[in-house]
Amino acid sequence: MCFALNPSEQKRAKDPLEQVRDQLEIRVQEQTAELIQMNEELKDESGEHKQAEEALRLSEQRFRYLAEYIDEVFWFTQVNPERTLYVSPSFETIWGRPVKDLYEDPRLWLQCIDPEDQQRVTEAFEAWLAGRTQAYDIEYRILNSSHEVRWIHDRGVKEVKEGQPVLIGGIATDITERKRVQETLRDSEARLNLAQQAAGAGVWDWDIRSGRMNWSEEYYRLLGLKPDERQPSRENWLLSVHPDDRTRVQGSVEDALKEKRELAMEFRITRPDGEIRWLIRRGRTFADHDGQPVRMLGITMDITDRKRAELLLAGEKRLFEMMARGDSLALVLDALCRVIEELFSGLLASILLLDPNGKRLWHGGAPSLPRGYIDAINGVSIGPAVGSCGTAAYRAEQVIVSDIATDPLWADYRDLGLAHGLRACWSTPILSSEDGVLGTFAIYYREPRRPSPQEFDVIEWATRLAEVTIERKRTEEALSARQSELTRVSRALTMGELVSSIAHEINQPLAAVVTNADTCLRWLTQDKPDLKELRDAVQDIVTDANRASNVIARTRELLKKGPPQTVRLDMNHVIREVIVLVNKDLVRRRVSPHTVLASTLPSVSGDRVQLLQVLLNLILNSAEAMSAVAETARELVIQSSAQGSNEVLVQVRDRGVGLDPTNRDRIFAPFFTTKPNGMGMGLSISKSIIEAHGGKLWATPNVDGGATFHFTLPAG
Amino acid sequence: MPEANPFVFVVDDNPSVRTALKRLFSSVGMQCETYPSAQEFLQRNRPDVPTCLVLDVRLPGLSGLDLQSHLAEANYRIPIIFITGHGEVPMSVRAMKAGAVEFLTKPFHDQELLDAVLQALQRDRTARQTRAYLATLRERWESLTPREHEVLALVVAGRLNKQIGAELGTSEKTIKVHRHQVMLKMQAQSVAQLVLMVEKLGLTAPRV
Repeated sequence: MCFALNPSEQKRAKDPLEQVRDQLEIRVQEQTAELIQMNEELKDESGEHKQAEEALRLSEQRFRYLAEYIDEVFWFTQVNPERTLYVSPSFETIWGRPVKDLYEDPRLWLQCIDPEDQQRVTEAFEAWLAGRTQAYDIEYRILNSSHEVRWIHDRGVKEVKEGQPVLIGGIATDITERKRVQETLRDSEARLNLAQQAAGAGVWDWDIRSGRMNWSEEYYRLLGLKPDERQPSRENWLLSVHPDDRTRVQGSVEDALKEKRELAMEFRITRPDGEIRWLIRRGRTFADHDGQPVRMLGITMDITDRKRAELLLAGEKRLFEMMARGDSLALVLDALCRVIEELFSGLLASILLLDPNGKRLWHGGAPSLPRGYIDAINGVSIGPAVGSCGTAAYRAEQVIVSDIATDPLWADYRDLGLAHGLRACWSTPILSSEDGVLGTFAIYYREPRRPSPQEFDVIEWATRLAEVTIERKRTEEALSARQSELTRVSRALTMGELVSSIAHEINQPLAAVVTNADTCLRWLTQDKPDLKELRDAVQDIVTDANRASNVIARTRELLKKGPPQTVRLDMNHVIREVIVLVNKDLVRRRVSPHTVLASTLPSVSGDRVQLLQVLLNLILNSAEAMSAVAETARELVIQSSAQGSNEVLVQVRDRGVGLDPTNRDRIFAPFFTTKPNGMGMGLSISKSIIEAHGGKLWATPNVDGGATFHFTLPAG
Repeated sequence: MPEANPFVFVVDDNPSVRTALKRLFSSVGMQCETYPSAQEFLQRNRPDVPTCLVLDVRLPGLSGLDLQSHLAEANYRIPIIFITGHGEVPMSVRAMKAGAVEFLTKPFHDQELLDAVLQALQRDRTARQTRAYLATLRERWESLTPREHEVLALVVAGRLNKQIGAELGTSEKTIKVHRHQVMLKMQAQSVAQLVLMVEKLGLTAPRV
């Protein structure tokens, strides 16, 4: 904490030594005059009173004793002819020259003066001697014998006879030290002022008993006043304080006075131009001997920017919390408007949203705008002259209308705006880098005005935040839409794979059927068809047609919809069945399946198709996991075993890439996949099917590479 | 030119399909050999008659498409007709780009396949003729002496006998004899024909 010193305090800070010296000077001066007087009288009486000589001698002795003891230089000079009568020995210390030089040349002192000061001193001295001026009291610089500059304060008295000076005397003081202190003080004061200005700190000083106040230049500036525009007083200060804060700040001041402690408070002021600023005021109370507060001294600084940033940050935090909580867009946008409205009195904020086809603006958030006005502009078509918002959205650029009453953009909406008491409207498009204009953020005022730099800043903040909010909400919506689409696609994909495999299974026998039938037809057009060949071909046709029909029957069962059908099942049968289904696929993937089936297995109750699906999934996963390993090593083992009499265990073991330990717990989560084209649904669906059957599905890494998937099903 | 019966190879892992196709080709008087895998087909020597290959895409071991690129690498030029149980567009595009004659999805009509086979055989026949002609030309060219090679090169470059003589440091008369020999050995009726032959052989004329 740094306090500025006012001039009276600076005086107080003067070296006490110097004060003593001043007093001494006065005394010496008085005594000198007295002595001169005495000398006169003595001279007059010398002839008559011999004993008086003794007195004079004593007096002179006392004088010399005094003169030679002090630091100041006494001097007496006879005017005509000019002759130095006496110079005290301090001369030698200050001037650095022997006293006798001055006795020899009474004008030597003038020659010792710094050339810059010589003329000034000579003129002052002559003027005084000639009686044109009353006093000889002057400060000048001398150069001593070692050419150092010293400051001298020189004063003189003169004895005048018949209008002519006959004797002059005086006292010269070395004030070099005082000058140095003064200069330092001046420097530090200048620095202090500069610091105050740079920090935007205003200083005030309050004399509590007299009620007098002193405001620094910077303090006036903080209040938005011209220096000396207003008399500094407590009342005038309160005039600047925002009405809502007056009671509070008065209380704080009273408390600080009563408890004689530091004052520290933040409050708002209203500048003459209506701008609201935040100030921080700190002060210290000084008390007299009785403990009564006599003075309060302090500084005041502008913290508006910090305060705004704080409020915006708090607002931003609140908005993000709302978004995280899943509050509706309307709620979040309303809250956003409120944050801005808290910052500027009289401000009304509004957010409109542009519909996806970019034609109309719809109400987004406007907690303080008149309801009737909101309803009237809801759904307005954007265009080149549609108020501030319609135009801003149309142009995709900021539109500042400082007076609705006169701006041509408001031609069609003027009456509406004015009817609701709105006079200024500044609208800024909410722009997204990807989707262009999302909507508009507008600020209304009930009087004509243009945005301040602070308001421009806040507009930027608000539009950015609005963009984030709207974008995020839209992303969320798109995400949930995509999610359901994803589920559909995944179903279709599984179907697609299945269809592909089924088509292949059916088309093989069909191709043979058609070819054989075509051949038969060719033969039948010949004169003597070979009946045996014909019979063989037709026999093949029947066989292949049945084969195709079987595939279709199996497929129909697999795709059969409806509630899960729980039947007693032998898992070995299910495994064999699935091998038939996937065999073609495995061959293509160069995977050789082996089955190790328990000779006797307790039956399980379950849905055959669902269990087929699980096995199909596990087998195809394993096959896929082996696509990167050597063909000869692509071994797939499907094993069944009884776990006691009440559980059946099925294992699908591969020699593939194995399980990444970091993913092991996630492989069963929906949408988790390590495959570039996988949907990540297979294992998650499988797990839920097995669990619905009262069993468990898990995976373990193999010691010799690859992974094993296990599932159990309760017997019965 | 009399020609032996064309030969159709079938590679398909489905026995029913193999039997049916063999039946079909026999019924139209074509020789047909079937193989259940690409590897087994590759062990068969190529017959010296126009041939084509009816190839299933999905095969155990080397797939149909693998076999196609394998044959191309081995410079085994045989027109291929792909057949598949379940055709996918990217697969067929890849096959056609690599020079397949046709890509048929099972089941197909016999006429579709036969048309494709006939087209493939014609392609192979032409290719065989071209290869045969080239072989003959090469044979003729190789029968020329080194001096005749020099003369041939300058003749197709359009030089007059006199110029050739000057260039090779011999008389115009000698060149005339060489030239006659070249035309005779190459069985060329005119210089224009000779130029075409040289071009077919892939020999470039020296720069003038």
